[in-house]
Amino acid sequence: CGWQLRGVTNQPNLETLTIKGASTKLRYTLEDQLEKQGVLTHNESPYLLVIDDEDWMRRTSAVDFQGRQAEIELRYTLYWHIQDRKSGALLTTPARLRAIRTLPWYPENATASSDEEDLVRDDLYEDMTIRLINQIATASQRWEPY
Amino acid sequence: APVEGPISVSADRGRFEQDAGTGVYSGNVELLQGNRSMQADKMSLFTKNGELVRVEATGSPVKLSEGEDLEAHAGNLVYDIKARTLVLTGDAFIRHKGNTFEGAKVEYSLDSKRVDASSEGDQRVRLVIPAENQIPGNDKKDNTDSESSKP
Amino acid sequence: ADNDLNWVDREEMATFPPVQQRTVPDWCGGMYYNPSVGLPVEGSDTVVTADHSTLTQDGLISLDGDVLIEQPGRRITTDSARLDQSTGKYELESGMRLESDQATFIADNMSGQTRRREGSLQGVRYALFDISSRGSADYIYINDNTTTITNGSYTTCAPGSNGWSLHGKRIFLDREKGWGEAENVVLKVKSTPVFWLPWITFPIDDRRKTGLLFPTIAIGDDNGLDISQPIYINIHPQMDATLAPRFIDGRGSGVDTEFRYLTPLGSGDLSYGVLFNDRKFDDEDRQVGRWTHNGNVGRWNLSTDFNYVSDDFYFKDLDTGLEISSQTHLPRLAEARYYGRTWDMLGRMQSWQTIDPTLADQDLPYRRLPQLQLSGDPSLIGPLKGLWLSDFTAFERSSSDDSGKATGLRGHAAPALSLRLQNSWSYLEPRGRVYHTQYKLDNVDATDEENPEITTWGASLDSGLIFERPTNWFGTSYTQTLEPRLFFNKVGYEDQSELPNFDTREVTFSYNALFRENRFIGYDRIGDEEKLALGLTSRFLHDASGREQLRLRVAQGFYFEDREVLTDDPLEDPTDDQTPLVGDARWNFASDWYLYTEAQWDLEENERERSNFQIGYNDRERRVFNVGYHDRPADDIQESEISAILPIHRHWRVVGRWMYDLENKRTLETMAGAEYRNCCWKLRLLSQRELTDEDGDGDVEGDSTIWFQIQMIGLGGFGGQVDSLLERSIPGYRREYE
Repeated sequence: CGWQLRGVTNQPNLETLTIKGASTKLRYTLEDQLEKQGVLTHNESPYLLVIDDEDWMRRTSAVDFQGRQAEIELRYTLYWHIQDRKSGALLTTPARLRAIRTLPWYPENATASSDEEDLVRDDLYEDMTIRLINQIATASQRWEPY
Repeated sequence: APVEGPISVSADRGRFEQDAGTGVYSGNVELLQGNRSMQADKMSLFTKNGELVRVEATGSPVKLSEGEDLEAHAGNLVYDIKARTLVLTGDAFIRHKGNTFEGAKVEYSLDSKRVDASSEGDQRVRLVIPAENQIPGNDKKDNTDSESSKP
Repeated sequence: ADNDLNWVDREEMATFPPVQQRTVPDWCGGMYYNPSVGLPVEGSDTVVTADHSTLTQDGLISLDGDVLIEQPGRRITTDSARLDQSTGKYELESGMRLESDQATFIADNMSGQTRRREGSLQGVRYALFDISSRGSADYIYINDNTTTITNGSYTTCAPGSNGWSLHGKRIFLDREKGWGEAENVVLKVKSTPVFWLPWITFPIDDRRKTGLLFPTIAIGDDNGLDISQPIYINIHPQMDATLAPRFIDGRGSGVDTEFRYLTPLGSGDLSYGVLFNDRKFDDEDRQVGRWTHNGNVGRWNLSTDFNYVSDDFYFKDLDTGLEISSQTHLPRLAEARYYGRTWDMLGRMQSWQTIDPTLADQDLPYRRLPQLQLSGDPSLIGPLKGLWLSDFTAFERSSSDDSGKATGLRGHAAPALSLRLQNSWSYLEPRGRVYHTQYKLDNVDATDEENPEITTWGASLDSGLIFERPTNWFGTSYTQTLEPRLFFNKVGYEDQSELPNFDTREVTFSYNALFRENRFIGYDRIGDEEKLALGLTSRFLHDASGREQLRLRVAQGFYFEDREVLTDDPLEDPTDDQTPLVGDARWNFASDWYLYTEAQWDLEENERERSNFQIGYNDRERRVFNVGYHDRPADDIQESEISAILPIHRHWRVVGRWMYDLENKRTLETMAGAEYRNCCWKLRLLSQRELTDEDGDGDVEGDSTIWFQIQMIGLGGFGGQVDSLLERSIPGYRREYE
C-alpha cells in the first residue's frame, strides 16, 4: 500500500544560518541539530532565522482533593520567520509552532517533580527544534543557493 | 554691467535686413557668447545703431546653457541685452544650481542671477529641489553644521 | 470638528485600493491613516508647485499662491512659503496643512529647519497616527522622535467624541522611549475637569502596559472592598517601578511594589508586598516577596526564581485564582547553565518554601545546596561516542525539620559508550553504561552506613526504521511516515535499600518514559530492568511547508524479569510482565486550532491509567478558546476545564472559565467577565470563584472575588493583577493581545 523506506532525509538546502532572538537553550539546541545536518551557524550567513517570540507557559491543569496542584501543563510557543539577512526580504511567511505537555505534580516529592519538569522541557525543546528544522529544510529547497 | 564679450552666430541660412537692422537666421541656429550658448530653430537679432540690443529665438525647444550652473529650454526665448534679462515662455524650464523650475513664464536676471517663475492659466510653476540640496551637512563648502558659520 | 485630521472610518477604508487598506480595530470606529502621502523614501526630491516662485543667487526660494510642497511620505499645502536653501531654514507664514504618513498638522504658521528635520507650529490642531492621538495647542515643536505640545490637549478618543482629554501647559511625547510626560495637567472627562496633577508620565505605546491613574477595585467575599492604586515610576530606560498602595476593607492597608530592571546580565523583576497588621490574621503583617531574573551571557544562561511568603495562607487570603491558591511549594532557585558544543554544565542552588500545612515533615523536599552537573557527548572514533553524566549534590533539610531523614553529599557518574549507526531510513544505537553513586551522609543513626555506594551497569539497543508514502487529505498532499521503534534495555540489579532517597521517583509513565535507560528520575536509584519496548509513530507532514500536521504514537513495554529496586509507593506493580499501552496524538488541524491527547491503557486490568485531552483555538486577534479533560484514576483525579476569551461585538469581549471536578461532582473554579472598549476607554468587570483549603484543615471552601477596572487608552494600561490572573487562568491569553 505504497510504503517504502525513506529515500533521503529532508536536509536543509543551505550551508550556514544566522539565528536571532532565540533563548540560549533554544539557540544551542538548534545549533547542535543543524550541525548534525551540515548547517553551520554564525553571524554572517545570508539567511537569518528570526525567533520573533518565544513563550513558555506553566499552569495548574488539575488539582487534588484538597485543591492542591496535582498536574501541571507546559505550553511552549514559537513565532519565527526566515529573511534574507542583507535585504531583509522575507523568505518564509511568519509561522507559529506550538507544543503542549502535561505531567503529574506530587506535592510530597517536589524535587523529583521539578526534575521531571526539566526533563519535559528538554523534550519540548528537542521536539520544537526538529519540527522547526524540518520546515526550514522544506522551505529552503525553493531558495537559489547563494 | 560687465562686458559680455563678442557674440557669434552660426546657422544654415541667414538674412540681414540692412534698414531694419535685424538679422534673421534659421535652421540649427547657434549663438555663442562667452560661456553662454543658445540653440534654436529660428533666431532674430535686433541691432540699434549697429549695436545688438535684443535676440528673439523660437525652437522646439530653444536650448540655453551658461557654465554648469544654468541650463534652460522653452518654446521661445527673448534675450534683452540692455536689461540683461532672459525671458522664457511656452513650457519654460530652467535648472539653476540643481533646482529645476518649470512654468508658463520664467525670467532670469543675468546680474542678480535671480529666477522668477510664474504660472498662466492652469499651467502652474513647478520647482524640483533635489534631495542633496536638503541633506544636512552635505554642502561641499559648509563642513560645520551650524548655520552661523555660513558665509 | 476634527474630521479633517485624516480620520478614516470603516466605510472610507473600504474605498481605498486593497493594497492600501489597513484593518480598522474593531472596537474603534476608525483610525488615523493617510495612504495618499505614500511612504518616505530616503534621498527623494522635493517637488513644489505654486502660482509664482523666485530663487535668488544665495539660494533663497520664495513661493506664493496655492503652494504645494511634496515629498514621498510628506505633503505641505499653504499660501506662501520661504525656504533658505543654504541654511535649510523655512517659513510658512499663512495658514498651512502638513500631512505625513505619521501625522497631520493644521496650523496658522510653521517654521523649521530641513537640515535637522525639525519644525515648530503655532495655533495647531494635530493627529499623531502611531499613538492614535489628537488635540490642539498654542504651539507644537516636532523633530524626528519627539513632539512637544505647549498649552495643548491630548486624547485618543475618536474625533467628535469627548470621552476624556488631557490638558497641559506642556505635554512631551517621546516616540523612541514610548513615553509621554505632562506638566500642570487637567484631566477632563466629557469636557468637565475631573482632577489636576502637577506632573504625570504615561506610556504612549504598548511596550509598557502598566497602570498609571487607574485603580483596580475588587470585592471579595471575605476581604470586602479591595482597592489598589498603581503609580508608575519610569526611573530609567532600563528600569521602572510600580508602587501600588492597597486598601482591604476587612483586613487593613498595605503596599505592593514591583521593580523591573534590564542589565547586560539579563532582565529581572523584584516585587515585594506587605499588608500591615491584618485584622483577620491576628494583626500580623502579611508579606510576599519574589525575585526573578533571566539573562543570557554568551553560552551561559543565568536565572533565578526566589520566593518568600510570610505565612502559608498569603495567596489564599490576598490573591485570586485556583492557579495561585493551589501552589504547595514556592521555588527558591538560582541557576547557571552552560550550553557548550559538546559539554553542558549546570550549577544551582535550589530549595523550596512549602506553604501546604497538611504536608508532614518527611514529605518536605530536600534542599540542593549546591547541585553541580556536567554532561557531554564527545565523539571518539567515527560514530563511536562517549556519553558523560556526572552530578555532585549536597542535600540538606531545614533546621526545624524533625523527620530524621538523612542529609549529606552525593556523587553520581554514569559514563557510557554509544555507537549510533544511522541513514535516511534506519538507525541502530547500542549503548553500554556504568553507573556509580557514592554518598557521604551525616545525621544518620548508628546502624546505617555512612558512606554507602553502589556500582551497576546497563546495556541498551535502540533501533528503528522510517517508512514513507505520499498521501492526500482533502486535496492537500502530505507525506505520511511510519516509524517502528524497538528498544531493548537491561540494567543490572544492585541492592539499593541502604541508600537514602533524596530526589528520586519513578518517571511518570509516558511514550518517552518507555525509551529511557533508568526508569527512575533522580540519581538515588538505578532501576534494574530487562525490558523490550516497542513503539510506532506515524506523522503526516505537509509537503508544501514541512509542517507536522498530525502525529500519532503508540507504545508498550514487555518485561523479562520482575523489578527489584523500588521506591516506597511504586506507581507500577513490579511483577507485571508488561507496561500499560500508551498512545498520544497531536493534531494541528487548522491554522489556529490544535488538539493534544495522551492516554494510557492497562491491558491486563483493562482500565485506563492516565489520560489527557486538550483542544484549543487561539489566533493573534484576541480570540482564545480551550477545552481540557484530565484523568488520573490512581489518585481519584478526573477534571474537565473550559475557558475562553471571545469578542462578541465590536466593543464587547467576554471572558469565561469553568473547571469541574467530575470525581467529586463540584466546581473547582468559575470565572465570568465582560469588557467594554472603544477608541479611548476600556472598562472590565470580572467575577471569579474558586475552591481552596482556606484554613489548612484539608477541606476546601469557596472564595469569590469581583474585579472592576477602568482605563483611558493612551494614558496607561490596567493594573497588572487582572491581566496576570487572566494569563494564569486562560491558557493562550497573553496581555500583549490587548
